[in-house]
Amino acid sequence: MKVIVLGNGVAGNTAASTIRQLDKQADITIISEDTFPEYTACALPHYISGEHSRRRLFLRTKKDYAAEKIRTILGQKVTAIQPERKEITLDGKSLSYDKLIIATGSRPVVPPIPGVNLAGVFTLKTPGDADKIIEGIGKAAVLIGSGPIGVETAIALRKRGLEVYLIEFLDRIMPKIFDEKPSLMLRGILEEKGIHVFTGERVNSILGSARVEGVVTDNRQIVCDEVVMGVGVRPNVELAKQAGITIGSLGGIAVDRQMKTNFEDIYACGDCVQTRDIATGKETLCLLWHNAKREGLIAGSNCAGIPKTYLGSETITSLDVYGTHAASFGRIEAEPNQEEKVTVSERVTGNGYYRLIISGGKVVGAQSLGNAQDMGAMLYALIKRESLSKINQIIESKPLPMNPLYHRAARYLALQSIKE
Amino acid sequence: MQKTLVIDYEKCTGCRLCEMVCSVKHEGVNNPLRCRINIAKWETKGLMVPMVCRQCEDAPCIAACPTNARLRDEELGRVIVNYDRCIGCKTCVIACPFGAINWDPYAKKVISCDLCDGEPLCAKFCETGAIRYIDSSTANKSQQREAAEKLYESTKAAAEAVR
Repeated sequence: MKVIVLGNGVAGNTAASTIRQLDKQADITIISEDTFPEYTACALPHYISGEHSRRRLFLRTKKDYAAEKIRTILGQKVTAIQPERKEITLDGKSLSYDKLIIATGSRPVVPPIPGVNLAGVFTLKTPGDADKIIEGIGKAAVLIGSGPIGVETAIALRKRGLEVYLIEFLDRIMPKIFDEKPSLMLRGILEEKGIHVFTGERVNSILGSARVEGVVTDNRQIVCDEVVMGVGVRPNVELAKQAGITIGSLGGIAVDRQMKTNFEDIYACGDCVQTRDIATGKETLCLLWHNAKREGLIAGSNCAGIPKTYLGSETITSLDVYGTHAASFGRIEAEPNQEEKVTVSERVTGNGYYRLIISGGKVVGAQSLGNAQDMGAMLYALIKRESLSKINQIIESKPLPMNPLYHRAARYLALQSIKE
Repeated sequence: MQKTLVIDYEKCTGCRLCEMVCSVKHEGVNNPLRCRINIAKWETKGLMVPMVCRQCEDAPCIAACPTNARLRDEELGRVIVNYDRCIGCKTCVIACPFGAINWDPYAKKVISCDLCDGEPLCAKFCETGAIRYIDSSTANKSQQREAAEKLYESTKAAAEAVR
């Protein structure tokens, strides 16, 4: 069986490795525009801060690929897919496949701000981007967007001694994953460390002649040497679209639960696909590392003839904010489309802060600052759609059931007070 | 023959000897914040529950790790960490359904049970036998026998009642 994998990220690599584990004879080739071997974007802020060496960004070497007998073609662009002929076009030549796995990932969104094309204005996705950001270090940096990438990069640059300005359009930092209270607590930590945080503020233009010299927001003008934009990513689906592969309503490649596209021998996984949320079943673009990895495994397994089903994407975020573990999963209270009514249960302990979002007697989300060890128990309550009253039952029952995790959770989450 | 740590919660007295030997063995100090097995206690209920890594085959912590720092060691049947890759994001901490991964605030790293490279000290030192390191495929034997005995007694009682 000849397999071609388009994309060198975690989804593509996991798919390739999975096929190799299941099929020692398969001919596997990974093709990517990237010149880098497999790397993890999640470690880029740690590289920028100087805490991580550049070498540690890469997860594979040429030797690893050779050991798995996986061929790689890097630095070349696939220009077309012909599903009917089961061929792809690379550098003017046609390559045939028995199975194709599309793992083309996503690219950062570049907002149409005047001046965005000046030198010194960056997005952060690749080791190359991180190298340029480090090169561009001067006295001050502006971060546009306060999602986890913006916050981690702000911390990294602050650790390097710069004046850092974090600018967020919505009313609080990390608005999609934290409600106001925990968000304000995290903002407090950032400001304590000297990071300037502006919320409810938009960057209207970037100033400079050849290179960036500053930015203008609704309220102020900031002098800076570089700008890093972290305002979201978009699935790379152009190649798939051109080939007649169905794209979903949210802009990602449409796949079934075996990660198969509308073409029998074409699978897709990672940031380029649209999936369903594991708990709610709703269509979503949940473009996170662990989902991409799992999707790669499922796609690879099905490709190799071992059926596996993808249960859905999980919205999980975890980051370290100057030693405080900030974690969030599921939905937050302040959702834009208020379809369902939720109640909030929060608790401050010596160890930290917990916030449970509850709907219809079930956990639908949780946020935590500090010790997050018991979040895991709640995460599975969410995935299993377990009702809180059932959890209470399990906790109260005698003799002790062999499911200690709920007991553990109850200790910190005062579930006894929630009776539904 | 692969072994697993089997915990009998009803035998645990909450003495915390397991926590002590674990942190001493791994970190050279007796510090409950630096051990890989933790006793969760509810003193008023008389409940003591040792919590430790279950060395999952399809581990959520391995799936969640954004730098592929966690992996399975099939030889010992355990989950280990490549600290060269770990960035300390603690996603594994929240992914674990058992809360079995700790954040060591002194060494600043995630820690979880590594079966002491094959001779788990907690099992060795547990005086009540609440922690045992036994063959995985027969780990259920004592429960099986207990349940079988209860079944036998109740079946016998029912038969007598009918006679």
